Amino acid sequence: MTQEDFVEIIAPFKDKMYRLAKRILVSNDEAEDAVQEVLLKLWKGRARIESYKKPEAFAMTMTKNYCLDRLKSKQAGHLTIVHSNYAPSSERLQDQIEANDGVSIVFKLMETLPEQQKLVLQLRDVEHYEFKEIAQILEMNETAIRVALSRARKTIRQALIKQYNYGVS
Amino acid sequence: MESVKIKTLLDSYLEGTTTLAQENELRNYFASTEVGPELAPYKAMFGEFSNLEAETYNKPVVVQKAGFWQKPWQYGIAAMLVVALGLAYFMSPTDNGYTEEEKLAIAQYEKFKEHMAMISGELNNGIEEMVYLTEFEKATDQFFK
Repeated sequence: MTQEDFVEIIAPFKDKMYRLAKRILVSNDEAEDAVQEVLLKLWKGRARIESYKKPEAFAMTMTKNYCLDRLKSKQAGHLTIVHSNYAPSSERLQDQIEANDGVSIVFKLMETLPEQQKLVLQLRDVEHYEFKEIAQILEMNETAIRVALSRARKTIRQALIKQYNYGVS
Repeated sequence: MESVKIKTLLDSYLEGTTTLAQENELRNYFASTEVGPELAPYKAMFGEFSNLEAETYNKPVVVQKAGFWQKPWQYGIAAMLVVALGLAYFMSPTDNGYTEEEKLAIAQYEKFKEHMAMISGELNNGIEEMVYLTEFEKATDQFFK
């Protein structure tokens, strides 16, 4: 397999890998590094990648495992879990308040979810994977995934309702 | 009518029982419709999910670094070569089998020999001049017998 073939295989899901990595590691740079590492690993094991029915699920599982390891490892000791990828604040304040009202709140709420719920929500609502695929990626059973997903959605909704009520009244 | 359907969909959405197609329907609905305050949280959620989906990995995919230098053992070979060459350089005898120090000593010795030869040459010159002294003696002999 040449590098071009490899790039072609991973092209459809490298963004998904990146987004998953970013959800876990929070920082842009860390996520980029993680994706690069996982891609290297995949490349080293490229002899096997063709024998997998779904390289995508495999790559996503690897990304998940790598990022969680990374988060737990000592190396990440100095890595602060604060999202610092601030968007440019050039827009008008009013626009910003309107835009932020809700949307970035959802993002912050997602960050506060337990790891598993966050991942399930990411894979389902952002990446639109089937439950079967999520089960494969996260190495969980489908029932557990439905439960986690339901909890995550409800938590976010509840928090938003609270936010909106406080905001409005 | 529409909103009733959306509400039932949202209920099963919260239970995690909607299909991807149904979720897609919800997403489209919230992307295109202005909603009342009771549905605003959902609009925010779906809006943010779409935002998150827009992120892409823009770095070039580099998996093959400059050919030969991929594997650690090749670094090993390179390191061994460097060491071997270094040793060979220091251990190997130079030109005619002398080390730097010996060569220096030989040069000194040659110089010393040259100087010595010069001194001895000068001395010989001096001795030749002594011939005149004997002549002088011959001459005086004639007078002082």
